[in-house]
Amino acid sequence: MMLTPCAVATFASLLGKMNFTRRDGGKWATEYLFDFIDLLIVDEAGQVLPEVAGASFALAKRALEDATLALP
Amino acid sequence: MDVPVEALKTGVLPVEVLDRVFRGQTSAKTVAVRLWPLVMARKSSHGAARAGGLPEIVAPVVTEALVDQDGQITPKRNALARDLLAPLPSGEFSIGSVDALDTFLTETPLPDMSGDCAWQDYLGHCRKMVDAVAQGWPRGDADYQSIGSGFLELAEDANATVRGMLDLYDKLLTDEPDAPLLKQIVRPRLASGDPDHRIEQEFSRRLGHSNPNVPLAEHRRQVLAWLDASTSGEVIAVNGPPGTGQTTMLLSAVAGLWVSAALRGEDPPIIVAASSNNQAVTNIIDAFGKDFAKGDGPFAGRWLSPDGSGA
Repeated sequence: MMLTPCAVATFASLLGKMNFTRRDGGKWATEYLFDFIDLLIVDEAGQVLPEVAGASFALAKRALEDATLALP
Repeated sequence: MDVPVEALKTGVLPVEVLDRVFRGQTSAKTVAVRLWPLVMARKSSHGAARAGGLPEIVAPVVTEALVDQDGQITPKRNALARDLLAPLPSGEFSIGSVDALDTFLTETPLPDMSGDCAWQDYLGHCRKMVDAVAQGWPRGDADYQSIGSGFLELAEDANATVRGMLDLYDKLLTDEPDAPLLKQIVRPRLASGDPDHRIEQEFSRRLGHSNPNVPLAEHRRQVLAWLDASTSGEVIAVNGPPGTGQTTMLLSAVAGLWVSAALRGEDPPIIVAASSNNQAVTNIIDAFGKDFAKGDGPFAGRWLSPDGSGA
């Protein structure tokens, strides 16, 4: 049986963890784990710029976004 | 680091700032920095900062520049801070639009920075840019006044931060891999018809919870039912005021996915919780360490590293 942790990261550091390197012809190429994460939880989604989060959405199957509505 | 007024007029950093810029890399000829030449602060009224949701400090112009050993600043790229330009999440403070900035920069690129009056050209460019995009802000805005000095920061760290993102976006553009979730976000397929509201009442969709003592509010339970019913490529977005159990809901979502995968005899799901800054991320880790009940069975307390760091 396999156990998996729930990983927690900032969007900036997450991308650095979700890739791998493979031999492509004579050189090394970086590949990403597209469509790999079963659930991507976005906490404090109101603070996250779309372009910052967008890249990580390419790596996930489903997303749960959670935002705090600031009270006026 | 603060940049004094005189340095902003001449484009030459004073010795004390220069020492800090070159600290640890004394042999380098130039150091890449980011410079905010115009810094505006909220005016205080009768000694107290006024409320109203406006930011305390606004520094609209961001310049990427090189500083040489003599303190001479050579601007390389001049723009306005993206987080002050529309489109932004609704209600956020903005001074102009990204479109206006792009139009201005296309028509008026930063002048060549090799001549004698390069620094004056640069200051002129800053002024013109603010005038064009933000209609001369903060002139006429009674809430803000300039603090005179500017800010400076070494540039390497920030570049490394966005590097990974830019690489991935490049990859997305060249290889066009199959990424259904991103596709749905960028170009949503709208569901036709009304969703089946019986789903949110189906308690059998809730298979796991994170804590025996803290239940979920009714509408949070509905969210998790929708999450269980969702398929690949779907996004569930939840909004709520602070203190209404959002973190509990996230933990419960994790617990539910684990249990349902176990019941199906599958490998456990790969779950990633992410946010934009370290503080939000630390909050999630703390919540996992604190609010995930340990239970009392043979598998009790299988949460790695109590301090949260290795989790």
